[in-house]
Amino acid sequence: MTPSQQIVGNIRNAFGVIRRHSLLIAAVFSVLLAVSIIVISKTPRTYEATANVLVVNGNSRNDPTLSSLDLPSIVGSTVVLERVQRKLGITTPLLTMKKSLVAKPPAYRSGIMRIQYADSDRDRAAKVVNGIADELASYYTELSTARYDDDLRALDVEIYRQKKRLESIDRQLKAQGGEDLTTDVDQDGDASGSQVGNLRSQRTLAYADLQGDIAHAQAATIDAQRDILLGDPLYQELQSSLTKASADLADARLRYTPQYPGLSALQNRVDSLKAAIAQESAKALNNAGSASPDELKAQASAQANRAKVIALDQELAAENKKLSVASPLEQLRLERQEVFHEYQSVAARRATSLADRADALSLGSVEVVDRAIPSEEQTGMGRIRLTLIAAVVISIVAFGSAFLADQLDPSLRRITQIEGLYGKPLIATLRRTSRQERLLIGKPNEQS
Amino acid sequence: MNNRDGTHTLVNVATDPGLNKQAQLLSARVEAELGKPAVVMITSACAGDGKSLTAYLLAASLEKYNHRVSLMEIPNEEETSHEQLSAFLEKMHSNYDFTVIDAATFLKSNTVLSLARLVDGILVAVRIGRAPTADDESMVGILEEFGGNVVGVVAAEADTIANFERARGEGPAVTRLQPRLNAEQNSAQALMAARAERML
Repeated sequence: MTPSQQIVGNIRNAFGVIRRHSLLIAAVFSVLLAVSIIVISKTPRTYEATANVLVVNGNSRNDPTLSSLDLPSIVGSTVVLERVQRKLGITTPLLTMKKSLVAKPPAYRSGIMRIQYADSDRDRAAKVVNGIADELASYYTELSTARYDDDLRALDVEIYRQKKRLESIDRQLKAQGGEDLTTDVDQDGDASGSQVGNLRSQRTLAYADLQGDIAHAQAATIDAQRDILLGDPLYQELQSSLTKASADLADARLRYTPQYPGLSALQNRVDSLKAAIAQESAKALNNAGSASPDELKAQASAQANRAKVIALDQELAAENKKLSVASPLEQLRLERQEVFHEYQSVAARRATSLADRADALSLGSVEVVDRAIPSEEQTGMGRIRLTLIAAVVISIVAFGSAFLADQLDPSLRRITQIEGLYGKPLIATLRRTSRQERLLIGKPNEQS
Repeated sequence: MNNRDGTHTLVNVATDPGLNKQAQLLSARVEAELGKPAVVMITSACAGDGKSLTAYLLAASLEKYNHRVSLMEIPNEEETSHEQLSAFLEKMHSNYDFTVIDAATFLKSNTVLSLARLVDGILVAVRIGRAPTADDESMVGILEEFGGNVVGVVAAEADTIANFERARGEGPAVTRLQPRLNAEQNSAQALMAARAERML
């Protein structure tokens, strides 16, 4: 059989299969097409809205995305989406919103980030994506400055409190006939602080120095005593004998039971050596005479600091006594000075926090540059196109099922089947000529 | 169509061009395989597989090429002894170029097995579209074990077979294509014809 005859034969066989299983093809096609149409018609339309935000980065490097936060994650975070839900009053579940949201990071060398949201309602899609863009901008700023804002709030409260105290003290001073002290908190005042405070500080320092000197003197004494004993040969000899006797005693205890008679002798020897050492060290130290130069120096310094502490204690007592008998006016003045100092330090801290916050803001921000507009355009393919594609696929499936059914059909239809069954060649196929073939060969009127 | 010698030919099948072509192929193949004189037996595993159609077409085609052809039919229920068959076939050999025997369904008649080693070639008829059976699988092997020479398979479409059976049912006479015979041949032939006529 030539290749072309083979092809013709195959085509004829294929048509035969289709003809034999035409009912099956029609049934499969109809059922699947009906199901597809139902599914496609029930699938809701989806509209997509897009908003663009600009990531303004204060970093001087060329690529603005390198130092920006993981913006897509923030866009889809529950914090942002919950705020959007609350603000817009929508009831779409968070999980659905996350699935319908697409945010891609800005491309290289670009600061524009695209946010897309899909919804079955076109107006809602635009509203939600715009809400997300706005919320992202404010949340980004919040993240940058959150820690400074808390500090600033606390400092503002404290400054207000101090200001109120100052105003109260000023009113009292005025009432008692004191000088007209301005309550302008920006004016510089006397920064010397109270005398009592100064004395207290000095006393603390002097006491610390005294403790240091005492410790130094003790260390110097120990060093001197060690030097004396090291220079005493009898002491050294007794010490080495004690070491040996102690070792013998320990060894005997390991070897023998406590009833061993030699143990008590060894113990007595160790005890007597210890007593002799103590006696000898006392004797050596007594004979040493005066203290070493270091000891003397440390003792002298300690004495001086001790005297200083005592003097400061006396001065403090005098000042406290003075304060307790000072006039109410004077007391008010002192109190005002104290409050003013506190106010100044809080104001300085607030200025520092403001500066840090400004610095944090300079690292970047997010601005909405393109808002979404409700669009009639649906995402994905239209229903008609989907149906056509489904019809094509279903046709293939239907024809495929016919060929599958034919393959699974065990009845004798193919040459290979027959020859395989009998093991002999198929010599002839007795088939009546079809109507078309009769027409082709010019014998249309033959009766069959 | 009535032939000169009084036999009756079915016209409806033989004039179909498609069938004619296949019949020519069949006869050419048989002639090439077996040469002449030859006795060809048509059998099948199941009833209604187109044995009679095949036998008729083969005989008609051979006869068209001016061979001396004898077509005969052996009913299922008839049993003939081996010696009778052998003698009969010897005579057919000498009187005809081709003898076509429309035999019974395989395994329904011992005659088929008896004839297997006596005939020159066996054609197996099968109907297109029926399911294969165990007899299909074993038939060729058994025939060859009995000394048969299975030449090949002839497949026939169901509606072609049905049409042939319908047309044959309308006809009053046995389908037979053969020239005049001498008396001896006539008696042997009469034996077979009597059996065939009884069937009709």
